[in-house]
Amino acid sequence: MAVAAINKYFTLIVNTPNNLITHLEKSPTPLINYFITFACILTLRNFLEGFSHNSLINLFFTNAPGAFLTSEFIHFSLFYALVALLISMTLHYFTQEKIQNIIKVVVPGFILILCVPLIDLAVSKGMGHHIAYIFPQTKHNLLYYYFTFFGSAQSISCGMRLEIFMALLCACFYLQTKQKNIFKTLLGLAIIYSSIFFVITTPYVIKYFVEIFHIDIPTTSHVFVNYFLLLLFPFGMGVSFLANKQVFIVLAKDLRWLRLLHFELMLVLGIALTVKQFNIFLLTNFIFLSISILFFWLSAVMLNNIYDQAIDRISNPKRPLVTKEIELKHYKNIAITILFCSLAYALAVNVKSLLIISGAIFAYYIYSTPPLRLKRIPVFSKAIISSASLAFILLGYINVHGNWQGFPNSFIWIFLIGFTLTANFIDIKDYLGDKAQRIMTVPVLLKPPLAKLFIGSAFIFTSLAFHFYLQNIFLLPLLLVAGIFGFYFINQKNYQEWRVFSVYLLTITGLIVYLLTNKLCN
Amino acid sequence: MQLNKQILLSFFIRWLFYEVIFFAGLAIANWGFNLFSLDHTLSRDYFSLQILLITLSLALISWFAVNLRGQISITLDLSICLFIAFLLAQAVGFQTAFSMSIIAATTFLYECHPFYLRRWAGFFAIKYALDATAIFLLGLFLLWKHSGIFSFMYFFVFYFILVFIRRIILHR
Repeated sequence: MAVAAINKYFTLIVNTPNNLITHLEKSPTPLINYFITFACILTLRNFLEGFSHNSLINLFFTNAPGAFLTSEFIHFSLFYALVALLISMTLHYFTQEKIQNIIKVVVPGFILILCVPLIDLAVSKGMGHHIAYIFPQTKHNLLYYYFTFFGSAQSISCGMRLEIFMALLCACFYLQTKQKNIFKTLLGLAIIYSSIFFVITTPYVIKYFVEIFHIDIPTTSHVFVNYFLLLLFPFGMGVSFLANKQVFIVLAKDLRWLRLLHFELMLVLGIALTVKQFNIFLLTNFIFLSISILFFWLSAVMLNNIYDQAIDRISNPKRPLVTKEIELKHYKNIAITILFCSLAYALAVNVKSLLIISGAIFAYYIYSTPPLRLKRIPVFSKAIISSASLAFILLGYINVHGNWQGFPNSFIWIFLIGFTLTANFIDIKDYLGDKAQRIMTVPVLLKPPLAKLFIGSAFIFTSLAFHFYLQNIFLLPLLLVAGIFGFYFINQKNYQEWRVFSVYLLTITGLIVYLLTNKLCN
Repeated sequence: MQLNKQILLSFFIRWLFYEVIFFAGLAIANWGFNLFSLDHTLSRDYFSLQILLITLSLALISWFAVNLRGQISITLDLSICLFIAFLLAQAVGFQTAFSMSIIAATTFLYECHPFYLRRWAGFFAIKYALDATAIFLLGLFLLWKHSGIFSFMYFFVFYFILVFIRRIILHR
């Protein structure tokens, strides 16, 4: 009788983790709920931590500057987001389980983080505990903290140790349930512990980074935010790839890399116009802005695809929505997420960048979508693209120079007139689709042969117009050669867009190299 | 969004609850001012505007909370409602927006899956204890930008016990 009862309870204890995991994985709850849940848990953790960490509640509920508080809040949120990604990826690697299913287990598991401030308050009899990273100023080295489960580190509270221990225990149950190999489980646990340790010792990493570049950076929230955003990009991409390889590859193929390169080069051109020396802040700002532009462009492409389905069935039958490789609703959700990422990375640099990127997003929105859908109107359609390009030049310029004073006026005219006329070459390949949908592009209005002559001539004149800024007679023949090549490729019988793009991008790259060597060498 | 007598009643009760807690915070802060003869330089008009914005924001948050019940996730109209509530709160300050986000967070965890805490008794008390603490502190510090006098934990524990007892009594 007693043996049967013990057996019953033993089976229950052994089966509980398995049943719980199966219940969570098979839940029909939409994935978006897990992301919102994660944000909710983080909000509550920040709130509860305020009771334990007195200076934090003072920050939240007294008149500390809003920007500083926002930075603190974002800093903590990114910290946990990175931990969640690292745990999810490790679990996926060892179990080969679908990443969506892992997220469905890991995110609810983050409810554990709410216990930390409560445990700290209970243990300290209401005094609370100041939770922080392990800083390099501490008396022991990293290995000591690693092998002694944070040893005597004052900043790692009792609640935090218990939280990490519980997380490891849950991970152990998960790994053991999914694959019955004890060695793999132990290795998985070691990697998860190392990942958490790596994030908690972030100041050490920043210190090493600072020593390499010989710079003095105060370890403020802003630095932590930048550091986590930098790491979140590759890990976020990795998780997105694992979540749906097919969709990831389809989106990457549809990115139209040459056009993306154009926008990225606009940013570099803006920097090249004013940069006098490179530093670490310029480098991180450049990386974030490049990522922001990448996401901006991807969202613009997706938005365009959503409203161009009828045209694409004729001109571009390989586009994802035409081939039905991605469901429209899913596609829209991805586009919104990517748009949000673009804004987040722009905001990480500063508010000016956020405004410029938002401006470009709005411009592309009215370019692609009804009721305005400016892509139907010949001049306005390309004026939008040239305005966005000009905005990215300004973005690079402002982030180095601080303001837009001294920005060369010639560039404004070159882009608003020359580029607006030249950019019409992108419509040549869509001639049949645009004609069928009665979209009045230059090739539809003038018919392809005349349109090609017109656009080709604009290419030559725009190329030569850069002389107004460069004021270097020796470069004029080079600009003329680039223009002639552009004219030739546009008017080729077997028209290939990538050839024109290549000439254009090479010209801009040459211009950037010239400007950089000129500015940095002087 | 749904609109019927039940929802309207539910909305007004919730809104009233938040308002009472908020004004309780304000009143205690005011009492503290008189007790310790502290001086504050807030202009009356500016202060009235802040209270108006918070009241509107609380109304929108209450509407969001009432309508989230029975939903699978946050719908578009509810997210717009939430966005406007945050916008109004942010106009007062980050602290106000933070308080609103706590209400939104507890409501989501309480009403929606994967947690759907409504299923279990006791979480009702925790949810409203957290909401009330956030709103009370907002009221307290809106007037009294001076910290370290009150121990927040006592209020939290006291309120939690009170609501929990009430819940148990109601269940029986």
